[in-house]
Amino acid sequence: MKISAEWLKSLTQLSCSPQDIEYKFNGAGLEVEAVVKDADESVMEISLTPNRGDCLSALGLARELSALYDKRFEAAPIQALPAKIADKRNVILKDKIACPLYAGRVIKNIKINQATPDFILKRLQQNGTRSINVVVDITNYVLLELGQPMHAFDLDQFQGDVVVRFAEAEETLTLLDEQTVTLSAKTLVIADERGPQAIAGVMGGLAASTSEKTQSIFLESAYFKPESVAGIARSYGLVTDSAYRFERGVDPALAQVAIERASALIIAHAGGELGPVHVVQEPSALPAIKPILLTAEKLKRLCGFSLPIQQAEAKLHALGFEILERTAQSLKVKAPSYRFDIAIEADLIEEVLRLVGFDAIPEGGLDSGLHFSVPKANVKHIFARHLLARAYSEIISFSFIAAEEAQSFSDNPLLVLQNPISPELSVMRPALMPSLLKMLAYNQHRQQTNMKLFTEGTCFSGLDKNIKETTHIAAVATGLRHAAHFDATQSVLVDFLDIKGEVESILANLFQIAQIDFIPKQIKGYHPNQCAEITYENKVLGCVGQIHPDVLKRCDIKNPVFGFELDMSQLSLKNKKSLKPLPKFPEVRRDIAILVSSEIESAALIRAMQVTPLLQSVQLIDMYQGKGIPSGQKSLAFALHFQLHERTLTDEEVNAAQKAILTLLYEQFGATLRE
Amino acid sequence: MTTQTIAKESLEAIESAHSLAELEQARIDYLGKKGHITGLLKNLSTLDPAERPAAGDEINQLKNAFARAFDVKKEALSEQAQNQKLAADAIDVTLPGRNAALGSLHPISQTLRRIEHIFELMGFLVAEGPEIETDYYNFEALNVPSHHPARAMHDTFYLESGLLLRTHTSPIQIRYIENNTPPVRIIAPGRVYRCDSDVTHSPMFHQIEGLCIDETVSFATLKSTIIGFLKAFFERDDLKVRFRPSYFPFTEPSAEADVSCVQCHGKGCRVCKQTGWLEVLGCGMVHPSVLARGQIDANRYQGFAFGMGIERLAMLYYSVSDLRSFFENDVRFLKQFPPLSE
Repeated sequence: MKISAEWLKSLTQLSCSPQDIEYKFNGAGLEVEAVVKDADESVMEISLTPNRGDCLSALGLARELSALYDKRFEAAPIQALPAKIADKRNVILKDKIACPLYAGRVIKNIKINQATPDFILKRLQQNGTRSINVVVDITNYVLLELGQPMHAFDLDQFQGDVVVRFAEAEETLTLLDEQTVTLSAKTLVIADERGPQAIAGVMGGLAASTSEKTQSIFLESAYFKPESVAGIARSYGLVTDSAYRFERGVDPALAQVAIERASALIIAHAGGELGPVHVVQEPSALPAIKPILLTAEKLKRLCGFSLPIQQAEAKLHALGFEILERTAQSLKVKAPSYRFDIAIEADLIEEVLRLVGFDAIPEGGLDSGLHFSVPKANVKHIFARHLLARAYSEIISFSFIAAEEAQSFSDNPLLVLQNPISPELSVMRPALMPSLLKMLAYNQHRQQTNMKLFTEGTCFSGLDKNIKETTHIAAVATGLRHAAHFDATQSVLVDFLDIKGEVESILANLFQIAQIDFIPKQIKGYHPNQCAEITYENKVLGCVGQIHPDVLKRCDIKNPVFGFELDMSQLSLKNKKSLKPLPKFPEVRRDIAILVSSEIESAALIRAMQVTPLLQSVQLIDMYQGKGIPSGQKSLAFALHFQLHERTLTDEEVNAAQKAILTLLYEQFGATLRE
Repeated sequence: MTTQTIAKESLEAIESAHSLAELEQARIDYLGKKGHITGLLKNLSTLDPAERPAAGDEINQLKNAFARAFDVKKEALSEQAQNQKLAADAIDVTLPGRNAALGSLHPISQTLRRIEHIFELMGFLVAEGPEIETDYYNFEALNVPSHHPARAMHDTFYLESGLLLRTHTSPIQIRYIENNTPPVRIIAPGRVYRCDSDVTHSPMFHQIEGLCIDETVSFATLKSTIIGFLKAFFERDDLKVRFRPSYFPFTEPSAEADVSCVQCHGKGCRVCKQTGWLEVLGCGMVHPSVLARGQIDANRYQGFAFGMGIERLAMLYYSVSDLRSFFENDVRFLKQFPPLSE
């Protein structure tokens, strides 16, 4: 809210400058966001936390300011004027939980076209409130001054009893801002015989509002429970000072004071004859303020330093709290009716600390070491470390993507947001690859052609309430394998084996997975013949492949893209293992070249070679198809490494092992030794 | 030939050798099986026995002189040959090396890791939680019932099932204490979502939540932990930290921490909107009803919690002025962040 520092000064009779007030408020949790000069006054824009509805008025802020100067604020008494006439309207509270207190009075024969006095206009204008007519301006002024939202109905337009009830099905109301809304069943309304005339605590209706023709009014000053107003204004797209206050809570004791204050101002500035104040209430439904015990021991424990309980008492007294009992070690206090946010001992301690100032709290070291735990290695970081060394750059993008992007890589039902920012950001991503492609396209449009990117994040699957979240890591490469270089052997485009190599390196070297399988598979979004599912120990880790040209076209990406995506939740780091002794005896290397049908997978051949325990490792060292090789066949050369741990191998043993391998390759795959 | 002639000529032969091959030839000519000096030695036996010792001495001196001259010459010629080879090896060392490229770690990740690292040094462990949450964990369990005005500050994304995208990392507090017993010392980083998108709001951003519960944890401990962290994070021992009372439904008392502006050091500038201070995090003492969610005895244990926005801290630390640049992922932006915090 916006309020003049001078107004607060005159209410509190403190000799303080606007700067002092700003400083004090900021230190006490009432954030002064801006101070603007208005003629000879300083208007402060104060941002309040949702628990401090009590400060949404000059009265509330004056109370707070006084307390900050260790002085308990005593509000000037408001005199009740005697009724001149007996006119009244019946008030019927249909739901006493939602509206436990309603005060109303009839005022007849007012002069609605009288000018609003300047002192009121000034305060309204400082807060940014538009002037309507003298009656509405006065109710708005009382809202600013005391914090009580009020409403004035045109008595002649309001037919019969005042009924506070929830809206019925299909009821509509044309509001003051001339929009007509269909009321929801959770909307509390003020109705007359014809139907709703106002949304309780939010906004009045047009039909029964005051106008230049108004002669008599029915003045409302009620207490609506925060729960009955919360979210209602928002649901109709409304923001009103009244709803803002009722949602945060208005002092239930204020309604009857405010109606007297407003009446006196109306009589003084618009004339009229007062009817009696008619109050209908259900005291048991009003918020009850319970006494709270504050102990010196808890005060010390929570603050971490000794704060005398007498000091706490002085601060609470200044804030308007009632001290019910005191001992040397404790206080029993009762919060004032406007501090309904105070419920527990910690709340009292916060009040005391706020006034003492958080700067006064000493620093106390965090006692460490006794239960210190060793952080676990982070799988994400291990992937990142490797990819960074391989020149991949990390991107971070939104977890929601467009439906068509998701459908490029997944056939599963989509997890759709009810209220997305835009259709492009409306589906929780089932995979990271669409995000990477989007960023490739973005950068390609900025003249980047050689890119290696990676990202990690949560991917979502499942339906309804059974949602599965998995942490994925994915990378893409496009363009040159390495940065452009004058050495032509370096200027090669990335291909499937480049990206596969990254996966192999990470899984084999860092995660120490001995047997990783790359199974040719058609996977949505990937090239049908350049894609493999990655598995180990019967777990599917993810896939690696070329991105399908159709997908690239949809993303407007020109060059081929290769990528992998893995579910990191399937991986964990192996425990530290003991060192294997180094071999003491030499290894024997034999190179063999075989001719085999082109369709045979190299991995199948290498798996089959493991027939002899003498074979330590195998590497594919050459692959050739073309001139000199029968069509439909390929030549593969392998380096076979034979070794025994306990002794040197003899030539005969190696020959026999090699022969066994060749025989098997022939029997299983028709492979022949190439001479 | 006489010994004197051979002595003279042999040394001349060494001197005139221009390559290691010519030098070797000279050695063969004089010391080889049929060499001249070898011949003189063979000839000794034909001399008068009385002359032999003197002649032998003379020939040995000749042989030694030859060998010395040979060694000296060989070393000179070797050095010369090496120099020629080195000269021929000359390259342009200013040519670019191969595969010099290194990747880059996103500034948000680097900021997260720096924060995690600082808290790990204080004995905190990293905890995580789901990004799709229930109303209970995101709001109810944190004292934000459905009518609470604080909900208006969290513009929440909902799924069709009624589940929501967490609006903060605070639900991890609840999930952690439901499954662990004090003492608790965790930080919980993660992505959070609010349906708000403009120059200063991103619909997805990152937070880190901290939770510390123990018998002797107080507001004073909270203060020192936060001050220690902020000084370490901004790498400034003279950083000023200010705590202001604030309100979070799940802490009591609650505070917001400001640091003296890292740009102008408190003098007032555009970054701090001329105030000299920057708001960086929210914190407070854990509300007893939150402790109760984890069956924690509030008479025995107290705790503090804090939460901060990573983008905000990253913007301040790296002088990034536009929040949106973090999610555009322009590689020319990303490449400015080599992985120093790895």
